[in-house]
Amino acid sequence: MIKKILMWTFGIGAVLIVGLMIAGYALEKFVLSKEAKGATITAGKTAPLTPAQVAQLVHRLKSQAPRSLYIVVDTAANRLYVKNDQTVMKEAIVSCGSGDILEEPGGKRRWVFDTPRGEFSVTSKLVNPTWIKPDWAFIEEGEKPPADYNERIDNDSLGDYALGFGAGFFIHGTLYTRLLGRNVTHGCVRVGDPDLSEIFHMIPMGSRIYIY
Amino acid sequence: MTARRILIVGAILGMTLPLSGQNKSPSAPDQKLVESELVLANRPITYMMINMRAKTIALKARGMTLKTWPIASWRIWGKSVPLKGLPLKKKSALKSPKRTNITPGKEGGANKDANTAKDALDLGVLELNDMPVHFSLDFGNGIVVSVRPKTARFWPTLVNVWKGASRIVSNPLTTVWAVFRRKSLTRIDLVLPSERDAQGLYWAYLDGHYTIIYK
Repeated sequence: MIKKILMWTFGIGAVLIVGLMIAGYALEKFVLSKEAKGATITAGKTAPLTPAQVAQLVHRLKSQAPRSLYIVVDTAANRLYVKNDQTVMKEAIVSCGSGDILEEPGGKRRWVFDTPRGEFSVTSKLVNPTWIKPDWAFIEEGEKPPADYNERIDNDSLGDYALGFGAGFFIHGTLYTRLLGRNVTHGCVRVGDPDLSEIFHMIPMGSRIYIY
Repeated sequence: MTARRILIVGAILGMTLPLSGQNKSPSAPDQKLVESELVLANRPITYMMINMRAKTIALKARGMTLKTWPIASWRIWGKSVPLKGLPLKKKSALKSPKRTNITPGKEGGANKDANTAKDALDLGVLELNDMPVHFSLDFGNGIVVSVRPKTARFWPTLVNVWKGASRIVSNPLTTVWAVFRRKSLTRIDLVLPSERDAQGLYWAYLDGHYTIIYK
């Protein structure tokens, strides 16, 4: 008896699922994708423009691109490119953010060491830059952040040059040249000294930086 | 005789030029595509453009291409996609990459110098190799893009077969459910040529990233 009930339940369930599948296929074939036939993508309502107006739109689109040298940073490949239009003028192996997380013991602060992504611009150009160590640099070492400002000054870590791009992030030199090509930084972009010198002298203030 | 031939060829060219030249009216999708991209290019952001016909995914900013990934093949199921910038609501994978928590006072990934070969390999940091090769991108309003790589490796192939088979069952059933709930449903299946491409795409996509899908 139980065997019979189970068989019937299984049979009805299977028929129901197959029926629903057929209904789904039919819905997709004859209802949902009907408007997509030959198009796949719907343009929606749009006021028709003349060819000249469309050409103007295309021109406006192209005019958004930087007109001078700009920097592109590929954080996955740890590569930096200096480009002019679509021409690569300079390529360098760099180190980008590690993606690691640091939490303050017993505190409420938390840092994620990612290189920020998006569009930025060169906001500062520094020779022999000094790093004012933020709180996380001490917490990471298991130390208490000092109250004395002078204890935060580090003249060695950033190399010979630094290009600032906002919120404390820099493209700068490194002591850890063995780690170039790896994601190991706290968010800054580290570059080897010869490449950094070249990039620093190529790129003017205000140049755009694209990071992805 | 020669002058007459030149005249005839000239007349034919004159008749065909308006059809093939600049005077040809742009189609509505072409116009809408430029308008939609211009909206995104006006902003200081990066955005994605998935071109199904050309089989490419382009990461762009200000109208210029920063990086492209090829598409080996694609398939669409359900309703058509609106031609406009769609923000990414959720990126999900079976095995999402995990970030490392630094223990204060100990040498963490980011503050460690690689003095030994072992250290150089095992830094405990998040890198491209840690990214998944199978994932889906949810753009809301029922639009989900599934990404998988072409692969010869055993486990990814098995996942590909499983996902392919489950779609045969799940797509029709979710369609019925979506129609019953009066919801929209679009499933796009993208196959990328290699695992590296899939990992690169996963890395590049961030929550909220705008994407234009077009053909």
